[in-house]
Amino acid sequence: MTTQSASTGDSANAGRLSGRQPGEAGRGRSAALLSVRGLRVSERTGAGRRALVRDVTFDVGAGEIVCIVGESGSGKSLSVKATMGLLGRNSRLETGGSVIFDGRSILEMRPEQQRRLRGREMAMVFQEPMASLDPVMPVGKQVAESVQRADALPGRQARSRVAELFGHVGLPDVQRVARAYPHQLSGGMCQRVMIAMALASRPRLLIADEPTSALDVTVQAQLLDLLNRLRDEETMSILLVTHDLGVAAAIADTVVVMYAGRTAEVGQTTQILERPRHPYTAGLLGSVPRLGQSRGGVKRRLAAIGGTVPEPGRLPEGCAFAPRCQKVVERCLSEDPPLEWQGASAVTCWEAPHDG
Amino acid sequence: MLEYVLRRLLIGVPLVVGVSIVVFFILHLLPGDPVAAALAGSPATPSVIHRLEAEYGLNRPIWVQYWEFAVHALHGDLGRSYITGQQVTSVIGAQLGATVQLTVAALALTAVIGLCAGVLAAMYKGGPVDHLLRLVSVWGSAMPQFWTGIMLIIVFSFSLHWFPAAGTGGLRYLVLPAVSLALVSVGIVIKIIRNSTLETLSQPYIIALEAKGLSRGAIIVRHVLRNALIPAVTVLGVQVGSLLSGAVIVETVFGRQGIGSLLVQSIEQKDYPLVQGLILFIAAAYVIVNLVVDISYAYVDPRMRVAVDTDGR
Amino acid sequence: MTATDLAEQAEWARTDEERSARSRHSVTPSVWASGVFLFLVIFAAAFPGLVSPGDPLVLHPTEVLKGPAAGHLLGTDAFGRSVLALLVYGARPALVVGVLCAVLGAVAGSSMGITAGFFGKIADQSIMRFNDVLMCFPGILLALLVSAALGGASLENEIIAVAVGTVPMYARVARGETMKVRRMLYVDAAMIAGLPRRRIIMRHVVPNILAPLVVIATLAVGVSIVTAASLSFLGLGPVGGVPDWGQLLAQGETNISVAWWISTFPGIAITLVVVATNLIGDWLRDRLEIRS
Repeated sequence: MTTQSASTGDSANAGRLSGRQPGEAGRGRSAALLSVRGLRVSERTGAGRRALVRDVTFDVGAGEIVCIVGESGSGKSLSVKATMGLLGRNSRLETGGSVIFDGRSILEMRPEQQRRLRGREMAMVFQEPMASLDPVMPVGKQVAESVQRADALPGRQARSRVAELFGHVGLPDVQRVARAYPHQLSGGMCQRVMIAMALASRPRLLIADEPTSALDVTVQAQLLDLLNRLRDEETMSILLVTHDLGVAAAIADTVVVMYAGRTAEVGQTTQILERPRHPYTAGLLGSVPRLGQSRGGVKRRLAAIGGTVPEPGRLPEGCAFAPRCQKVVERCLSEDPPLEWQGASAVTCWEAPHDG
Repeated sequence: MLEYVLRRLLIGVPLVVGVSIVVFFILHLLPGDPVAAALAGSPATPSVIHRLEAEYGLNRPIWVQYWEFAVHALHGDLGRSYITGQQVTSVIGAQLGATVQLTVAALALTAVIGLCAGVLAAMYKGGPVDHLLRLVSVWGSAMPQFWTGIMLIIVFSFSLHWFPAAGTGGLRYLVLPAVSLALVSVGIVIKIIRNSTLETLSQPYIIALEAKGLSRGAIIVRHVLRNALIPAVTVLGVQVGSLLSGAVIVETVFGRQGIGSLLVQSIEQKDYPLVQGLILFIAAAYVIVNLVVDISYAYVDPRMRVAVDTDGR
Repeated sequence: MTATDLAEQAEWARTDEERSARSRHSVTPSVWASGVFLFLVIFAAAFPGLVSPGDPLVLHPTEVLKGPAAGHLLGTDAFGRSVLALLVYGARPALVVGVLCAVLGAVAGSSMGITAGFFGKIADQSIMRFNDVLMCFPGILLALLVSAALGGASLENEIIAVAVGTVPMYARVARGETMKVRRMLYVDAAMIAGLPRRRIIMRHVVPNILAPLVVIATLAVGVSIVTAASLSFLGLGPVGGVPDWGQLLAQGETNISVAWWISTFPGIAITLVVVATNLIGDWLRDRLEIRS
């Protein structure tokens, strides 16, 4: 397998940060840490109900990195917030489907039980790191808050644990950073602080909602490297949401592609990148600029996907991607394809290739 | 930080000077005859008039008069009352205590009720508490202060006999005036704090705190309050001005001693040095309060503090 | 209520969704009620004879200080005059003062602000420093000062005193908006074309900054009515003729132990007018989508 990947010279694969190959996490579906089936999130509006997330299905195994990839409006952020039970406070949103974490059904829990999981076994990191920290409290104190929630340590011990965590995430000059306020730190440092905060309770699942979207590319690479390293050191699973395929290509074991509130395709990263089964995935790959694509002096054109993403509540009959699809047939316009599993990969497409 | 404080002080000084100029010139350039007031009916021969004019410096160019006034003011001499001949500063000093008492009481009421109610209204947005407080805010700030004072007297003094209707003294004399003084300010504080709390609650870090697994109570107490109440310092500082000016009315309605009722009295009696001194005093006090508020704001909001430290501005 | 309070008066509904929800309902019931109420008040002010049960100056010496009853719906005052009639006839001075002060203050304050914003540099610095000094006088202090200097005792004096107190409300906003407009290209174009600056200001600047100033002016009507009533209450209002609402309240205070109605009703009238103008001002602000 290693030899195969190297010989295809796939530039996306060349970007992979660790020696880890897809599937080495060795998870089977029954051993999944997090199991999401048919997740739905609808909004109650004056005119009825609008489905923002229609049917999301994927697994996260122990020690696995799963990336959810989708455009804005695909419902990816809402999906992961729903798995943490964070949508409860918004009275306009309804959640349905099943989310099983470590054998326990999250959506059926009372809010108090959900809360007890958060900041302990499940932790989350957000998109705008500086805005996600309390602006009037020194960051060290905020991390200490998580530490004390997890371990109930007295002051001085909590502080040294904070220092330890900061070191773990690669923050220099620990004392100065701990006393600083969020606006005194750079975006990348704030994100490391958030990661340190999330690690305080040694979570089994770390959810990262577009953790690098607001940061520079160089910082992004460093943070992804950090996440990878942490996955190994802490035996932690990571569920990472991103709109950037490059991020998924860099660290994911499994990729979940979302379109218009639904899972379009799930599969191991190499399979997704080399043999995508859903036309949307193929379109996404085609529209990513890559180095070395101008073979023989002929520059390859970026293939944009024509059309626009449909708005929630204004979905066409049948498959949501049909209006923009190259492989559309009669059936696609009237019937919405179900998610079909084939080994480790799944796809919602009538015309998806079935290979062995 | 020190540089910031000094800068603020430096801005305050020209403001106070400007205030003194405005007060002096408005009173002196506009009609109204102080000499007639001083004479108050006694026979006015030209020589007497001349003497009085000379004594009050009224026969010299206006700028010179102002200069003399300013120099004297810096030495703590604000002139003498036309009516009693006493030093303006001592008259003010004698009456100041009652007003301070009243203003502090009203400010305490405003702060406690206004801040709590504002936060509660935001937390239970759309609920009955919110609507009730909105009513209080809207109507409270519309009711003229002299009217609320009178209404309170009618209900609580003459009907229920809980509190005295007039006079200065201990706690019992303070309740009704403080309440009627505070009503307008409470309405404004509730509105501003409610908005600030709502904005805080919609910030991204709130959901991050929920993701940390903190309980609602912990989030409110440890994080929301600290952020939402940042404008409180500024708002309360501005309200001090409102309260000082409202004291003029409330002290009159309740027959209380204080520089407010003193001001009304001195206007009626056309005792211009006293009017001048009082208005100057109140405005200068307001400037000082705002200065203190500005400086303490840097302590309250760490984001300001850093800006101050980095470029001393 | 002070000038500075008004200037920082935020709307009750802060979030954008609340704001857009409010403007989606074109007119809420409370705004309707305010509009109708104000219309009635304006009518009473214009045609008091039609609304009032009688001449307010007519004395009924036998019915002095009687409470609300069939004959006199709101009672009589110390001179036997019908409180209801006095209330109705008092609407005109109240509204006249309110509107005139709002207009005068708006013109004076906006002129200051526009001059400062348009010409910049020295004009800006000096005018705004002066405005800063004016803002150091909290509440009715400035109105009191001017009233004391003018000697009170007349409607004109009262109007001038109150109007001066409202000037700072406009200056800052006018300056800010003018500076925004000044940066627009069409102003430069007009200046290059050689148009006289006064015309540029009247033709191009003023129409574009009118909206927020109108909102402030509407809210200022309420403030002016209360300030004027306060001055009248303190004895600094016009003498003779029909007592205005503030003076009626003052009379009520001296008779407070025996005749609660003389103070109560004028106060209710003032409060209602102020609430109504505030609600309309807020509605205007929503409609014009002003962010304070």
